[in-house]
Amino acid sequence: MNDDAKFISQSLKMQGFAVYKDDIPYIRSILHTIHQTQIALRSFPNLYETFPITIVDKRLLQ
Amino acid sequence: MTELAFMTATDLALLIKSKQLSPVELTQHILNRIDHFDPTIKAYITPLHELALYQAKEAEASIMQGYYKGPLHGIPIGIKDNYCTKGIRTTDGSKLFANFIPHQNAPVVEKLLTHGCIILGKTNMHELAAGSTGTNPFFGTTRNPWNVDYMPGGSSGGSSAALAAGLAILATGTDTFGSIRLPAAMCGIYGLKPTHGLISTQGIFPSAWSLDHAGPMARSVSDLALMLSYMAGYDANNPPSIRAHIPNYSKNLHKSIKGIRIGIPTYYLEGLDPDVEKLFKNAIAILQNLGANIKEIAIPELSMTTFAGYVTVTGEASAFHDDWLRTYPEDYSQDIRTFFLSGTLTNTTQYIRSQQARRRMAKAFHKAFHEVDMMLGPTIPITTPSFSDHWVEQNLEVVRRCLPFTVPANLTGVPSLSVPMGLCTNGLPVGMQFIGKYFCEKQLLQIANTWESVQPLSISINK
Repeated sequence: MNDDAKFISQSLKMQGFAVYKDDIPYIRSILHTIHQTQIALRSFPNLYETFPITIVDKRLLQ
Repeated sequence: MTELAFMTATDLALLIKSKQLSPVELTQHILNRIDHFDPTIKAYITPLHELALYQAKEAEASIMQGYYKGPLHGIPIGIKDNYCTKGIRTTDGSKLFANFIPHQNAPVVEKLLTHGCIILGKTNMHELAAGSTGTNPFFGTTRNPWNVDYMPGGSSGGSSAALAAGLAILATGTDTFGSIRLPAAMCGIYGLKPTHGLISTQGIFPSAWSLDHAGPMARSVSDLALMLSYMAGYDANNPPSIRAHIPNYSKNLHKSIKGIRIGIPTYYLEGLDPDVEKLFKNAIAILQNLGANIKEIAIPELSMTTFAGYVTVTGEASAFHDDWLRTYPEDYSQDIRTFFLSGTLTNTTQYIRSQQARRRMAKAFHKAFHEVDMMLGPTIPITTPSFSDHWVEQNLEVVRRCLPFTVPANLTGVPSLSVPMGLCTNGLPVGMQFIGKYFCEKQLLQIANTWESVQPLSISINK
């Protein structure tokens, strides 16, 4: 088992999820997509200043 | 008689109102078609023959007595199986909820029933509205009526297939990262993801709260407009619901598009299958001939789409499913389980960064809409694939290819309407989407209506 697979397996186990060996390559592939596309954020160096879109229910606060 | 099943609700309503067509006759005709074709197409998880005929008889009696409720009265509709229906099982396409019977209707269902719709059944869907192919190992895989070896798209694949096969006159869908527009494109029908908050999502199974939308699916733009008029509206019990003016969407649909400014984000020109590219170029030329001013525009913020889309969808979906994923992991099919579990392995920082990216994308859209009236792009970059034996890989791959094209409208909340664009080499439909400003559904419907008049399904790459 390589490092990625080990990390995925251990992280799921630590959170209390059942680990299916056959699931690992798929999860790894999805996480790889996320990791690769996160690079696009580097083109927006001031992104950290941006107020995130959050689920705020204004009616609840009234 | 077959033609009756393919008429628009708008035309059928005129016949029903003038008592030239009986809702019972119409409903029975569609139910007969369901009996004949649905064992192959599998557009429905739960067909509702008895209920539909009961509702049709009631509609007929009331119309004969002079109580005509309006253009939905007596029109048979398919309801996606993630909309709660009182006393009728609502599975969300999942083994987890195979026996769930809600105590009340989703408000949108209630509205459609109040205005006289007849429920034909609960339409099939990709499990938990979290996939794009329409495969469903628990309730049967929906097939594309254009060619049953091909996928209908998802997650509202049952609704799109039912419409394409004449197994429903109207249908509802939901769209979290393309689930109305993608199957609409693959099945050659029309689908609208409205502005976030315009249609209540109360009583509909959540997939990812901040991206979930309910919307209409139909075989014509006039029918989308008709449905939207009845589905839209403020719901005090639904946190995302927005109090907005609801115009008569059906009025003045025929409007010239001369001089309308359409922007094509260059983002939507990347990675297109050759057939999609050809048909899209052809569509641009047609729209220009109709008088639209079309230009390419750059929206660099769209480069954050895939990251923000994946992190938000998987994160929110895994939060909703956290308990079930721990307790009943084997009640998920492998594509959905792995998709959701991925959300447990992204971190809070990534989630917040995604929400920052969304604000930046929404602002970029605002800015772009100063330059153009609407945007246009292919609904998805690929032609419809045939089913693969390796369906888990295929499901995840179709999401990977298509989500970047559909999810920007979910991340930003702007409305997007998918229309057929033509037929590709394999004879299956391809779609394109008009993307509008917030609450500008009417404008989208008008331009889509003009586009519909060119009869896009008669455009074939083989000709």
